[in-house]
Amino acid sequence: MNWLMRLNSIKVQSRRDIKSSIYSMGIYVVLTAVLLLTSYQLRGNLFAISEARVSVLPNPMLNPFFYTMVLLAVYLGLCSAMSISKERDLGTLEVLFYGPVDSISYVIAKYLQQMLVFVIAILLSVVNFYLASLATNLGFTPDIWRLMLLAIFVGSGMISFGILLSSLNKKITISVIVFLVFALIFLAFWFANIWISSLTVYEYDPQTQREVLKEFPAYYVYIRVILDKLNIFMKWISPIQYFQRGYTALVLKSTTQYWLNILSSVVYSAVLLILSIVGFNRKGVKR
Amino acid sequence: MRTVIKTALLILLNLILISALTEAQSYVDPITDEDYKQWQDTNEEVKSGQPKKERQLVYAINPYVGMEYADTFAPQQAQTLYLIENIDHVIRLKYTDVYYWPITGEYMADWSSYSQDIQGKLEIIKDGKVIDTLELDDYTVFFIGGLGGTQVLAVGEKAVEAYDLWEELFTQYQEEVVYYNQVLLPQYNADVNRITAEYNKTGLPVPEDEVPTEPRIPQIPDYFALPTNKGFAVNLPAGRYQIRLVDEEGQVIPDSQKNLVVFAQRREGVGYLMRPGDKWTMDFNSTDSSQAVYLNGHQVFYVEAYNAAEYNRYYYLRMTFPQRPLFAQGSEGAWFWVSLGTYYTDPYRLQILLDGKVVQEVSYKPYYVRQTGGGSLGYTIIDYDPTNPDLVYRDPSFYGYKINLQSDKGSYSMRLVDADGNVIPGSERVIRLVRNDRVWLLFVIPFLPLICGNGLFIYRRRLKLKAKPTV
Repeated sequence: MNWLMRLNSIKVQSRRDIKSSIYSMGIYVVLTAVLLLTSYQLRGNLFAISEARVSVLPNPMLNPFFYTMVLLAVYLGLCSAMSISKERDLGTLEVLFYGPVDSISYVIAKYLQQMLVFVIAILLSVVNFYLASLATNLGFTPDIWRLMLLAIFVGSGMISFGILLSSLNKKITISVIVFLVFALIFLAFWFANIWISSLTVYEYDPQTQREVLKEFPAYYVYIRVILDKLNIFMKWISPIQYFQRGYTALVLKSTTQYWLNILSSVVYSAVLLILSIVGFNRKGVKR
Repeated sequence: MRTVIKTALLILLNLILISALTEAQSYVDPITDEDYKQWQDTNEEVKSGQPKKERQLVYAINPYVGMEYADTFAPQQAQTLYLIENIDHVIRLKYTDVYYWPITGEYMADWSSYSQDIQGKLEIIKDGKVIDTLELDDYTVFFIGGLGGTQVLAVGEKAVEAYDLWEELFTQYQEEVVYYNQVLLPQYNADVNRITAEYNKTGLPVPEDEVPTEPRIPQIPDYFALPTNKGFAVNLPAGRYQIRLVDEEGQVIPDSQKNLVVFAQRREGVGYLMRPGDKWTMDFNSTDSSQAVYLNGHQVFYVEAYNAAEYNRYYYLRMTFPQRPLFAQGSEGAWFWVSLGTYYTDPYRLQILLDGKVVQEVSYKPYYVRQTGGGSLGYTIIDYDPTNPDLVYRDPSFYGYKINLQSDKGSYSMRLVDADGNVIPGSERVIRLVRNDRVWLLFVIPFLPLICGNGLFIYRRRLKLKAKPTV
């Protein structure tokens, strides 16, 4: 199949899938649920500010926006994990491949479909956070735009990861289970890492009125050491870690690191998509 | 397929397990009979409260930790030392008795029972080559502004001069105290007694110009220096090195070789100590310029500004506490801000900007907290004026820049400028006055995507209905 035909095939397939996604209610329900969840965090931040009267925080919109992007990426990764194995499981894939469709055009079309849905979800989230900032004056800073751009590439990583798993599995349930296991590992590792590194080293001692060193129990230290070492491995396979690194670069205002992170996300997605095509060819289109 | 998935999961779990075990193994060496005996001995020692001491070559270190010179030591067990780049730190090598104190989880040096300085030259090695050889030299730490003031390290002749200056000032102070106690105060007391006696005798008030002035108590010098000592002043750019002590013949002193990691800061900026007007004792810090100041409505607050740097948490804490083996382990990926101790006072000014334009310029001033009368709690913060009769013999409660925003509308920010109006990098902070009266909107706005989805759903249904052939 030449590339002109392939492009046409990608266009037709992705258009069909996008229509089906945006006319169904799934993404809107999930997005609303995620945004409501993050609204609690925003309310918590507002409550903390009103209690303290004067407080110092990083932009209180950034963290909820970050969590929204992570949860949406996980959801669309899950959808991607189901996409190919579902069609294979139902037998529609075999029928589809009698037409002008090959593994490359099929995998790319699936990827583009999920990516477009993700971009729509991001735009709706941005509108939500913009309106929330107007309502509360928590501030809609340019960092949110930069985070949005970063999210697109990191979402791409998660979607590619889902497509890879889907291309390797013939049964939809297995795809879903494997994806959820990985997603849970990624999320648990990410949360644990944030939690353990955020533990304060110094604490205020009211008796001496000085900041004193806080001693942690030995098992905390071992958990921290293990997580730190695991991070060497996880930072390359977990899309959330790519997002976290980009977010850190954003906070540090390190433009080079920010763009390098986007570049590494692109490479990550490309590698996974190539692996998906290879895996898809090996598994074939039959049930 | 299931086999493939199982294998993949198994590989992942194994990788996690191997990583954990490898790490754990670096802490847990194979236990030998000797280790077991030592453990039994230690257990007995701990039970008896008398840990076993071991004579060791240790590094006594005075690292510069940002705002002061710390005093710490690295026992044999600490194989790597950490220091901040491009600033003088002092290292001395000593023999002393070292023991492990399990209650605080650290090695302790018993300097009082045995402490012997080791003579020699300190070699600094990079990539296997000796790049520098340091000689022992005099050093001292002197304090500008008294004991709590800024610490400066002086090396060589400057150290001797710095300590001589302290001795000279202190001798002068002692002489002034003697003169005050032996001459000025008795003379004043005698004058007061004479005038009182005259008044008691005549009943006439004493002319004001004859009332004696109380002599001023001599002020202790606002300068202090520690006695000079011998040490190696180490000042290196960031990188990984080895250090060791060699004797006059160039022979390496046993147990003196250590790894040295010299590290740089990641960022430097301005930290603010924020003091809300209505909770002036409950201050807190803002070190990162990505942080914004959030106010619940109209608030008055005071800030003090200081320079701060962000360091790797692991490196910094290992530099400060090399004698604590578990301390900061696993925090290689974490960063934190450290105050560098210099406060931005006069002539620096704090500018308040409204929508990008400077609307206020605030000077650094002293303030006094006046408690309200009666039994109830309460206070007011007033400008400290030493000529105010109410404030005679009273010191300011705190110093700072007072921020009092004039309007609730617009976008505020603040920044620090020097005498020439140059903005201090990293001093910018956004100030936001948040609104709490429309929180309910936070739980309405998220339904927007659902409304959009419903709209599209209905639109699609209508299209389908239209597309159906009419009978």
